[in-house]
Amino acid sequence: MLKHLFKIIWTERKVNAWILVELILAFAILWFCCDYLLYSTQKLLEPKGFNTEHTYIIDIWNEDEGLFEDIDYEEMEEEEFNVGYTNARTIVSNWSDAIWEIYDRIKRHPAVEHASLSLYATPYAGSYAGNTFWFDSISFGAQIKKVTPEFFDVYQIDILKGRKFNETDDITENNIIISGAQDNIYKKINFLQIDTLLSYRKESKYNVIGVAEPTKRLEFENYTPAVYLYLSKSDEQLIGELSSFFREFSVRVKPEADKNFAESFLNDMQSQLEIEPFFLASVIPLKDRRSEYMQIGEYSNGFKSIYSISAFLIINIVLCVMGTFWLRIQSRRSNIGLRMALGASKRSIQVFFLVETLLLLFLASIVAFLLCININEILSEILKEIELPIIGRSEFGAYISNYLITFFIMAIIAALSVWYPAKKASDIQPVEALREE
Amino acid sequence: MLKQNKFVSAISIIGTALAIMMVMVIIVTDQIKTNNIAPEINRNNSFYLKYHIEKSKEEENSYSSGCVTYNVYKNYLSDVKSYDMATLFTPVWSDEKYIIHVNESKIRRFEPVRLCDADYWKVMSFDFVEGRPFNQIEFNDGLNNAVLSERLAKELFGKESALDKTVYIFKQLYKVIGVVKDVSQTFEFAYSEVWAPYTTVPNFEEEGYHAIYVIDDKDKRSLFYEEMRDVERKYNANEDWNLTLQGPYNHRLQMGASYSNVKPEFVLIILKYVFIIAILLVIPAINLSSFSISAVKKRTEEIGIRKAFGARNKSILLQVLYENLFTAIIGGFIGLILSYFTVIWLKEWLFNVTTGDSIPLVAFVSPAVFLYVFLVCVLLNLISSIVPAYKASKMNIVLSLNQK
Repeated sequence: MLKHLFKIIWTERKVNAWILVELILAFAILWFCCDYLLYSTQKLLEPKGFNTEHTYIIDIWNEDEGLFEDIDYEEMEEEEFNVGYTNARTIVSNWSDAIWEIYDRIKRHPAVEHASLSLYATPYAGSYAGNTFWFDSISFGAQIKKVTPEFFDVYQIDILKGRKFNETDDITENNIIISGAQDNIYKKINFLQIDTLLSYRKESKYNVIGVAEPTKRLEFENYTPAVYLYLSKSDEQLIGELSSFFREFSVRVKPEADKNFAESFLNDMQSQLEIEPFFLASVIPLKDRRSEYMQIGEYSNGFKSIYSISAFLIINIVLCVMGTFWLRIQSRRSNIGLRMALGASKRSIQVFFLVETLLLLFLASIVAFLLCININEILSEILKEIELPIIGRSEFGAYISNYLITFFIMAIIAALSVWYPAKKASDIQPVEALREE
Repeated sequence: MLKQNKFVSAISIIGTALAIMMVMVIIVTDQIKTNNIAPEINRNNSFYLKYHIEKSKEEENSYSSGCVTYNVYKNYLSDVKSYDMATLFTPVWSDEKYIIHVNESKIRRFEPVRLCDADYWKVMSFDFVEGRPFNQIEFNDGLNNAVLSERLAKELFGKESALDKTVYIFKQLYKVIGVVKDVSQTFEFAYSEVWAPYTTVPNFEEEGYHAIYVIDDKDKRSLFYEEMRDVERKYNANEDWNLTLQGPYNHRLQMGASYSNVKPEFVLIILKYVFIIAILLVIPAINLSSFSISAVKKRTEEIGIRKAFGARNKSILLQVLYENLFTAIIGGFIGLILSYFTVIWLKEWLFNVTTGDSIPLVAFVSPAVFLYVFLVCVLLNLISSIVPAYKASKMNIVLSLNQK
């Protein structure tokens, strides 16, 4: 049958050339779309290192935010400066007390299982602080997260080695918890074997008291090595410039209490959390944070571009296969009639059309595959330049899996679209078809 | 003619409609972003200064980039004279909200606030439901006057008129002097819920601003650019930093300047459009070509007879092109209608807006849009029918008549 089919494809090469060109182009573009989706799915399947189910950010605002920005110390006389400085110290310590009081009150809410306070540390946070550290003679950059001990409970980040923070770490300042990248290895350093780290200028030494599981900022990104510092009560970053943006109260809600939590917490706690100048602004589920992060990081737009281009290609493949085979049946009516008169069953006619389509697709896919791996680098460069989301991997394993998936998707679509013309073909009455001859 | 092969005709029309829809979504989105549409009615004559970079004269890699500072505006940009209108205002970021409440009530709202000068109301054209904008004298005196959007005014004061009511913004009491029709978030420079004079904020000299210069006269523009470069030179002579103004850019270029330290590349913007439209038109065109080749094949005898009676190759070529153009235009019309729905459906993605606000309808129903649809149809038709039409015109009469 295959030999016969190749013969048919060859005799109709003029029409087949068009359908082949279309399939090759569609295959090549769909290839890049599949690459993106496949890569994203692989990333998504990796453990992200934290759990955000039943977690919320309690957004506390400061009505006097930026108070210190307005004061111009440089133009003050010395005496005025001293008074201003003393006043500022009083305000700072009042604010600091208020924040920790608010933290205590949040903890006491009956629906809250764990609550933590942190600076630029939560998953999907737009803000980021980083620093360079030394391990022996190797330096590496890591994200810095200042957290209270409960942080690991709220986001269920496992400690793989050593221990979590406890209150004693407040006094001994240089105790840290670290985490690396994939398998806790980063730049060939196994984070599980690190005991001490040096700061960038090598003036302070940190004791590693625990190693946490690696975390990502978003599922689709790579693991970021992190250094967790103990958030002490006297930390002035909590009230400094722009702090409401970095200051994160997070809670893990008891699963049974997680119904309308945001709304009921807002109602219950509004007056309790009102400690001048702070107030409760909103309760944000972590999944909202995630979609915000996806938006800002252009992930949402990337996916939408890929989806719409794929949908466009798929519809075009459907139209192409359907239309071409519809016309083909008409020009081959007598041929089909003759085959049926000679005893071919309806089913075999349908299978014949199906195999012919798949064979064409296979030919196209081989050409497209060779095209793709040869122009992969150039094309992905161009596509990146014009801001299309492209991964542009050049590993052999990725080529093969891409090919299989793209072929599989296109085969299903082509098979479905040839079904209607094939059915029409098998409905031809042999007598009528032969009479036309 | 379309009835001859209904199924294939339908497929061709759907294919055309789909292609036109995708292209029109891109064109209409682009129109909404770049045409003069109220309130941003001066886009075509506007020059934008959003960001600048300051590089340290001493340390090589030390620089800071950000919005236009008040210092640069007040002491240096004031030398620029070649323009018709100019305005200075703060950008509205989606994550930056201010606390607003009525009188002493503790129910707080978080709304974007735009601080601007009095000329802002001349550069933009807002539709005032009631009241008026603040004028130059009120601006100079730093009177606490504010303009609200219709939505916010309704939320704060219900059915009562908002005029002359008071409202707390940044813990200061403001008087409402005007209410404007809601502005869509697609307008980067016009959108806000609250507008107030920047002179009313205590630390306005520390704020970051954007500036727009409107220049109607084309000849003035080169002089304007010259003056901008003079601003940089003067700044570099007086200050510890070297200033590079990011712009002024025209409307299309400033859309690419979404980060303070990135210079937009015009070529890349164009390349992107060309590439996308190529994908969107070439693939359906191949499709349509193969269908019309089959159609031409079937009509070999008709073409043969026409030729036998003296029709020229050119007229055969045009006949096939015309006939296919008819299909293309039907598809184009359907595609245009579909594109309306798609734009409304996907507006959050296309315009990066967050809430469900309205899209100005003007952008859809304009002569320019119809012209674009027609041009895209002709283009698609040319790509898809040129091969079949050429083949038809080159057919051998004897052979084609012989087929009967």
